[in-house]
Amino acid sequence: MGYVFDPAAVLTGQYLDWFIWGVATTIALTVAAWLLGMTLGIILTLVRTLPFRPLEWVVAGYVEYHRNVPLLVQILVWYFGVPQLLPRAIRMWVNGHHSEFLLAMVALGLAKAAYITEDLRSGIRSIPKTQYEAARSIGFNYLQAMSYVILPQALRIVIPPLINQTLLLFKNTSLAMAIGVGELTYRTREVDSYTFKTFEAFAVATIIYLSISFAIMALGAFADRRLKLELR
Amino acid sequence: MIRFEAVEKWFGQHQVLAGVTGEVKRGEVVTLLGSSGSGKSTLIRTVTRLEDIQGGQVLFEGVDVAGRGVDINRLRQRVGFVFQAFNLFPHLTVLGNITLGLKRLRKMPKAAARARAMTELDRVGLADKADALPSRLSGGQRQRAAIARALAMDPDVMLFDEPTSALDPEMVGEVLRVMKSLAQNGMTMVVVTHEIGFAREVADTVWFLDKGQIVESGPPAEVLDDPSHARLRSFLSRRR
Repeated sequence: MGYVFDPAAVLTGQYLDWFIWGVATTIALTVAAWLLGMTLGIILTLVRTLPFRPLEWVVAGYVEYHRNVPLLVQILVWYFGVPQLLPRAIRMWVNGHHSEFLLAMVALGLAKAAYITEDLRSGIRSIPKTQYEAARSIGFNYLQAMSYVILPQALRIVIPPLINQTLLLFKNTSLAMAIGVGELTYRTREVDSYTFKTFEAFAVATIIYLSISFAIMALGAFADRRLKLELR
Repeated sequence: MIRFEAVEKWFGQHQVLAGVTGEVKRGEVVTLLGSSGSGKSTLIRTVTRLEDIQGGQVLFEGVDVAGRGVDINRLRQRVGFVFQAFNLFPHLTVLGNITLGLKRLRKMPKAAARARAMTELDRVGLADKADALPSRLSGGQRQRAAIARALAMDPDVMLFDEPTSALDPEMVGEVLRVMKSLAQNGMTMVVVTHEIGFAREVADTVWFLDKGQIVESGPPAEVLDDPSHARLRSFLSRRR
């Protein structure tokens, strides 16, 4: 044996820098993919509730693809496949601007949107139809009624599942290492291979992941307390 | 102001409106009486097309509400609607409920919308509840807030769909008082209600509906005190 557990060895000099860059990248990727996922999730929800059946089928297909194909496969398709379909000029631009980060964000965000639209749809279903009628009676059109009356309520109702989705997204950013995004897991592997301090490196990563997860949960619980709908 | 012309409405095989014809004039208060299922709520819901009809026409200011060129959202801004279950927006304060339409549809600046909302809240006696969430209000207060929300849009006519039916008996009075003062200020109103006293005291005209038709109509004194229709007689005797 004789293994000496020495976390300080991986928290010095360039290794510390790598960790810091890794954490920053992980957070940036989480936030960017979350924003994309939320925006697209809301748009998909609006689209699928329109009284036009074919749109509903398109969204259903979208949801099933993203729920049933492994996320890693989706990321690989985006990184290795999609750029080839782009016009050369755009491809060159993307490749010159951290395409791995951009495409990981797109893959994670699109997948997240599929889950968010499912949650939102069930949230919308739980709101009485009379709320929609009241909004329309004031003179709002469909889109206005959805954005000012229905969605704000649905979003509040689905805060608990959204916290869960956010946690999953945060952890799934580690899959982006497969296409070379320098996020926390990627950097941890790097520190590991330079120092051979495997346990130390992953202990640090674990503690960082746990702390951020707890922070997300605390933030979510706070939002839920503040925004929860009082119906009675 | 509102004309129903041979209005027919079906829910599947069941006919709820069987050729309703009648007119609500500007400044008039019309009360719709009838047992549940007689079609009175459905009738007022056709005015703003909360219900579509299968026969006849509903005219608002002489224009078919189902007509091609009609912007239904614009029409709805001119017709206030008060629901039995209030339907306040639970995520907004009382003030927020009222200013939403003013800000988003009337494009009023925040301060002006707020001032307008406070005027209406004052009118219904709820100025002190402006910043409360609907969940903190009693039923009577919620319904008065809902009336203020409809009034804020400055409607030409107010439609009430059983506004006191969901209330505890002791709260009915406060809502009826607000409605009565509205009527006295000349608001055109169509009120679906079971409150015979209100009909007698406030209405200019009473329509009695039975099986999707207006079977009796006229001034309350005539219709309520000297009912010619057997159904109306039994309806009234159950409510004395």
